[in-house]
Amino acid sequence: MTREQFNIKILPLREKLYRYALSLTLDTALAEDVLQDVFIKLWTKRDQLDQVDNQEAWCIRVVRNQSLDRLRQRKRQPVALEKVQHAVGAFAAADHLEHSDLLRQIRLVLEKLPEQQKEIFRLRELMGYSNAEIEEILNLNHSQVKVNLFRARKIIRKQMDKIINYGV
Amino acid sequence: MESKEIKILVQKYWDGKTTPAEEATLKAWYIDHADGTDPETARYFSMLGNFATLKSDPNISFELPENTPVRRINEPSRFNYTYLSRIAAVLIVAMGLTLIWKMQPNNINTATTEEVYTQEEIQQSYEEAKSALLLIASKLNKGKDAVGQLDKFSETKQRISK
Repeated sequence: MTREQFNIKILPLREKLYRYALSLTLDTALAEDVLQDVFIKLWTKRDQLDQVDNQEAWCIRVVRNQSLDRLRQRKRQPVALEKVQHAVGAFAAADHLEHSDLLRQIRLVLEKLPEQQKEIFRLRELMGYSNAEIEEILNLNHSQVKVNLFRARKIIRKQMDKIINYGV
Repeated sequence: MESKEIKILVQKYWDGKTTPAEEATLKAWYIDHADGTDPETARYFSMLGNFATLKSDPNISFELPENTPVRRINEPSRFNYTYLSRIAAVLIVAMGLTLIWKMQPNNINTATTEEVYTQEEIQQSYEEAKSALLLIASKLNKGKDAVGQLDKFSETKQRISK
């Protein structure tokens, strides 16, 4: 893959890949770090990318692995002060607060779900992928995706009913 | 789209029957039309809709290095592991042969005891070994009496039981 092809096919996925990294890390600064790592990785593997049928699904898997690696690393290391400052400075203050509130809401929804349902929720509800695309990205079959998505929604609905009826 | 239709669509969503396009419609509608009748549903769909609009920091640029090496699929590794394993096998065989050769009686260092130790040292170790063996021998018969008593005890027990 030439630089031009890379610019045409892969770079436009930037925002999608960023949002997916964000849905996994729930941290804007970390998601941006992941995005940079991923583009460098994709660039070094550009010849492999040529031979992949669904390049977007492949990129999503790279983002997933990179995000999980970063999260594992972060668990081992205390957060450096410059990182925190970078996180605040990355956006205008208002944007940052808005993002934080949104990410907090998403975190609340996600923490109610089991791991596989979380993964399907991210791809379907946050990223807008179809069931067929999710099957390819996660290597699951049709019924696994359908059932897990239905169950995830059921859990969320139940939680919402609780809030409405009991103010929990 | 009217709120009645939206309610039908919401029900369809919870039943897991909506398409991604219908879900996108729901998200977009709730961002613009949160009417306060069902705030939790509105908050949920607008949360999903707002997430879809998030963008990365535009100041970040990706400088892709010009001369990055490309790893091709099936590209032979820089290390020829077959070649290295052959060398390792040859080395192991050579070491084995050397060891066997060294273990041959003709090649073992056959210095006699007299050449290694002085006469005094040999005599001293002989005396020490002798006294240790005598000590063991003196204690050997101590348990014999106890065993004899045990035999007597079992004999008497048998008689009583008869």
